[in-house]
Amino acid sequence: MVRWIRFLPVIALVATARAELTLPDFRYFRTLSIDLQGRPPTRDELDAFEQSNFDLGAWIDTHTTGPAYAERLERIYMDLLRLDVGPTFQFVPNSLVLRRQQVMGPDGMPLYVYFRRGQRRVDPATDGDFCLSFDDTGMDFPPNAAGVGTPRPVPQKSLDDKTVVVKAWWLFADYRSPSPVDRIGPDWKRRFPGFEPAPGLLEDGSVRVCKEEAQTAESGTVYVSGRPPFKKGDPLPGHRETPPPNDSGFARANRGRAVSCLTGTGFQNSVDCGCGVGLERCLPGAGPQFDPPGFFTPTHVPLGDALPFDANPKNVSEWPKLWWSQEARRFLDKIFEEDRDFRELLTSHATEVNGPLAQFYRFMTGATCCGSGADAGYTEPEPLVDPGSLPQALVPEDTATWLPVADRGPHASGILTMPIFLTKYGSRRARAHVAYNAFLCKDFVADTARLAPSTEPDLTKRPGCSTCHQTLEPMAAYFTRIAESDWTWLPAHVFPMEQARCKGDKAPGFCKQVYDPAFNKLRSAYAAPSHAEAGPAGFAQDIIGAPEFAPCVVQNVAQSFLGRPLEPEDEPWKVELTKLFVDGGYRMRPLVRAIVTSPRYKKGNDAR
Amino acid sequence: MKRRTFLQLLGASALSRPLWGAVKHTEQYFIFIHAAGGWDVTLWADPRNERKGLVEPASTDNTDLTALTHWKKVALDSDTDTFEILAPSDVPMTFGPGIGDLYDLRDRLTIVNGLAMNTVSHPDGTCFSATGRHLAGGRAPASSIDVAIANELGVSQLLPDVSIQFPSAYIGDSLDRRAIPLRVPSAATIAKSLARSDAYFNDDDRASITALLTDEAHALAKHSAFPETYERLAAQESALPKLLGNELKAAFTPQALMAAYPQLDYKAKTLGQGALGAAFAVEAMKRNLVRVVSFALGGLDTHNQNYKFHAHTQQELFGTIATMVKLLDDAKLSDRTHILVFSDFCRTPQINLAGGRDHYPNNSALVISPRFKRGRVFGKTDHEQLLPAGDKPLSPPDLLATFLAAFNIDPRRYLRDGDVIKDMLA
Amino acid sequence: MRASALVLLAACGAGTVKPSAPAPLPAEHQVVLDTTPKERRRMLPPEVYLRAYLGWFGGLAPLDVQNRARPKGLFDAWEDYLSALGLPDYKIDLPRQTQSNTLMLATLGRLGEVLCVRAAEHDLHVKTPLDQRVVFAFDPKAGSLDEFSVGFDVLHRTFLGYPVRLAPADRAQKFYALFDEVRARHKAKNPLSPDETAWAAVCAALVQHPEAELY
Repeated sequence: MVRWIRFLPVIALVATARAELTLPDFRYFRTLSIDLQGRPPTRDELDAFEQSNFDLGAWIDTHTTGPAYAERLERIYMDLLRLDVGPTFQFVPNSLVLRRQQVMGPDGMPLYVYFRRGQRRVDPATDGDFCLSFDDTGMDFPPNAAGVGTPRPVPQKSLDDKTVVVKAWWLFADYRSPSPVDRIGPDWKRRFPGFEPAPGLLEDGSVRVCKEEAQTAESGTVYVSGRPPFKKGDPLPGHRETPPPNDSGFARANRGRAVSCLTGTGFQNSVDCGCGVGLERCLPGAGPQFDPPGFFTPTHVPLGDALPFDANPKNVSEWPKLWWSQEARRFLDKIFEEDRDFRELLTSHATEVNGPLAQFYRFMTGATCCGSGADAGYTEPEPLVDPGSLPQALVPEDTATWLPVADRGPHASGILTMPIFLTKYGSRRARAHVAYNAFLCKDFVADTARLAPSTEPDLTKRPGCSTCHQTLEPMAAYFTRIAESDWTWLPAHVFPMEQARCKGDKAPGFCKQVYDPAFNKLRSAYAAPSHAEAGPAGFAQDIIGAPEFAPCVVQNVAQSFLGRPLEPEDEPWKVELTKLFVDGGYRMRPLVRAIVTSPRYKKGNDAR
Repeated sequence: MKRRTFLQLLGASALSRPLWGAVKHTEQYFIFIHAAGGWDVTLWADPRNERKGLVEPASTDNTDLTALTHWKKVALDSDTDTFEILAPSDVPMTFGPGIGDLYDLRDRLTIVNGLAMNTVSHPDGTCFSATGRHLAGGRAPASSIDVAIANELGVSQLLPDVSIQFPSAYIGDSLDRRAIPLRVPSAATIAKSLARSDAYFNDDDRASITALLTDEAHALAKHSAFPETYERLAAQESALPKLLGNELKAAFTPQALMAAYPQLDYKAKTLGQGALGAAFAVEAMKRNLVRVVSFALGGLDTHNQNYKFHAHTQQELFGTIATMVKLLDDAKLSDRTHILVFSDFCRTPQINLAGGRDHYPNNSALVISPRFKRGRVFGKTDHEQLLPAGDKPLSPPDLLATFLAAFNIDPRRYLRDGDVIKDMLA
Repeated sequence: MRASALVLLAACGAGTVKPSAPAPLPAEHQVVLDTTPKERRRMLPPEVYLRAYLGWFGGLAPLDVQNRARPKGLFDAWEDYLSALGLPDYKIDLPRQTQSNTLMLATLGRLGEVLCVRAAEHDLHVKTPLDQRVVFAFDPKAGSLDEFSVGFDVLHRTFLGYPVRLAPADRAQKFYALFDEVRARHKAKNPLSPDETAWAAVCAALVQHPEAELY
């Protein structure tokens, strides 16, 4: 009985199509087309609609699939989650960005030399700085600024000793071959649409880079200069403007030990670590600035990255951020296009990557690790995405080819562990909050309570704070093991919930970063240590298991299709839709079908 | 009375006033500025230069002093210097070095300290400051202050409310549709949308098209269960011809604005775009085209090492405002221009592990208006935790209610909460 | 209660009380029932408008449309218009604009003009074969209202999504009046013929029509 009734509106619609069509019929078809095709119907489609044999039910079935339908649903969740980061989040780790300085070549002509700020070098005059000194060039090189002074030709010997020419990945698609020949050319527009280095990067025919940066080893050894720690007032070696790096505590304790060159720790503590084969571990910038111009990166991609609405060279940090956002959009699209269980949005281990994302996951995610965690013995982060699962065939230039990654790794959990989510919502509380809004349709509304000064560190108890934080703190605890504004995983074998040596006044430096002295536990874990161990996957289970989850999905989708909030009199309909959604395995297609065939939707845009 | 008839009458009455010019308007102008990101109040409005309780003041340890005009060093400890609090003798106010050039206009400022925010979320703090209500379900439940003012005082203007990245919210069915804010990403794009080529159509052609579309919208309204949508479109269509004149377009290009107001710092490191918004506001007010211009100036969310430049960003922000006020003085508009500047919340009194300051549920706000008592500070915070103090701390709804009351607008029309603080009003 | 009281009385009293029709209960207070329809007309999402727009431009990519549209000052760059169309900006948490404002209409007007002028150039001015035309896929003869209505129906379907026979009876007449006005105004060919300019004006009016801009 129930099934027959469900099909009744479709049968009724089919019957109408055979009779003389009225204006409401055309309006309905237009609305359906807008929602399911992403545009009004074409004249040909209207002609077909007017034919007596037009089957509207079948048309709806055909069109609750495909990229336009997926985009329609993706739009709902992108409006809720806003998975894109702007200039407030800067991703410019020194280990990743190849800046460049202009010097005078031996022939008296201008010459660009690429370098990384912070690169370790044996020469104290250039350690942590540009590899050519005042003696080589006649110029001083202030941080993040062009050289100043009277340039003189760099001696050929200095150039040969300190720099090397590399066939860089952004100019050679086959940069990994022994003799790369596939140089950037007009056919790249067809082969690699969407990939275009900033004009400055194409100005010179070759990429001359400081020798240390050209190193390709995947691991190096910890370097100790032996220099005494620099103090204010000490003379600077050479013509330096800033002091050379001091030997860190980690370096002194681990001299000669192997360290990964794919991590910030390796970059900061080894003279052996470079940008890899073809400089593939680094992003080029056409200047010495903090965030130099890198690639043509569209700002506006409302119809997807394949249809950009602008094309201007942007700062190099915009490049990875664009692809983080596109990864999330594609992930959403796939769930809707393939009509997968919607809960996978929070639980799935899979993703899709293109060339830039594969490059990022393979070589760049370790750049922000490990800071003072190295003192705890954490020098090689657990990767965000298992490199073995990444498609090998993708070159960094290939923006247009997207290939699946079946399993990102054991910590993966839908969008909750994607870089765009973790950076857009940098704090653990923000991550919990947005999921609470978007997936449970709930909000934290503060009491008009007066916040009296208090020394209570537990926000679940603190007067004025507890109303919201009683719920928020335990939720935030799920993200304890992911660093804030970052994706670095804090594994239990290095960072147990409580660390004995982090108690007391003589705690090592890393303790304050990772542990909360008020609770002697990992930061953010105090309200629910078990949640910290469950991680984002546990949070996902918590959310999808909540009774509000399915009604919230129904509400978000129904409101979007109707173009208005649901009213109290819509409640029985919402209950019915929720049952349909849950019984249908949390798939969107039956839900969307039920909505677009409902009288509410049909009348919703009728002017009469 | 049928709903349709009632709504038609409502629409008709709203439109019975001519669209601009002829009606005696209040001749008041409003500028609302959202200092996006959350500002460190200890650097400008509620200055602290001592270590007390949670407070770790700005110092040479955490602040880049380059080009800070009002940073006068005093020792914080043996290794570190902090700033001397500015305590002018002519007004009972103190300032931090972030105040920049606005210090010279201190006798025209009204500062409100100790605003109880009860939130540290960017979108929620922004919404609370702009509307007097926290977000509900991720959405603003009430209209923002710029929309309220535009609705009450601005519908006769050609552009009642121009909103440049400002958190405007137009909520509800009872507001005049003409008060819907014009939202643009920057002042520069306004001119581009107004541009028209003369190569194919001329102004008479466009007038004919507009007349037809207005007529169609009215005709559709007559048959619609919701005529206000069509009436709104009709009103907006009929306002177009005035907007599309080349004179306006030419006046609002970035080049024209920069040439007209070279005093503003368009090359400011963080807030160059904001200078363009300020120039647009002055020009649009001089031409009597707008009632409200609202814009956002960002770069204040300094959680880590970027806190070093926070004082500098504040100096740019307040420098832009000071220049804008002086331009309004020159245009003889400042006695009837009212400026409200707010931020999402303030920053922690402590410095965090990354060398920056995080979010904190306290706030300050700035008003520059002859209808407020000037050269005064209202509200306070406690000395050790920088939290709102006093028996009944102020909150954004109180400030917004007071602002509305200053113009004889009943705050309850727009605000569920908030008391008018009569003591603030001149 | 009343029923049981009656039963009691019936039980206690002598004889039978004849049943009578129940009298209406006196009202205690009015309860307002909101029976107004909840549906509203809403603006087309900007993504939908943009996708349709690219289709009307012959399925070109956005930057190709930008290049084709620009000559003679008809167009600047997409990034000048997208925000005014109501597109959200997730980078800065700028929400989607769901209500129209004057600047949005001005932007739609600018985009509408360039579409129709370029379409007139492509379809009519260079006499592209009928099957290759996207917008003006009809014989542009418009010597009379009847002749005009044939082409007008094509445009009406294209932009409003339904045949003109279902539109208000005077719509074709109103648009023909516009056509005549513009044609009369543009006597010389500059750069389109008077008829071509007039058709472009009709197109521009339709693409900005409330029924085209709303869902």
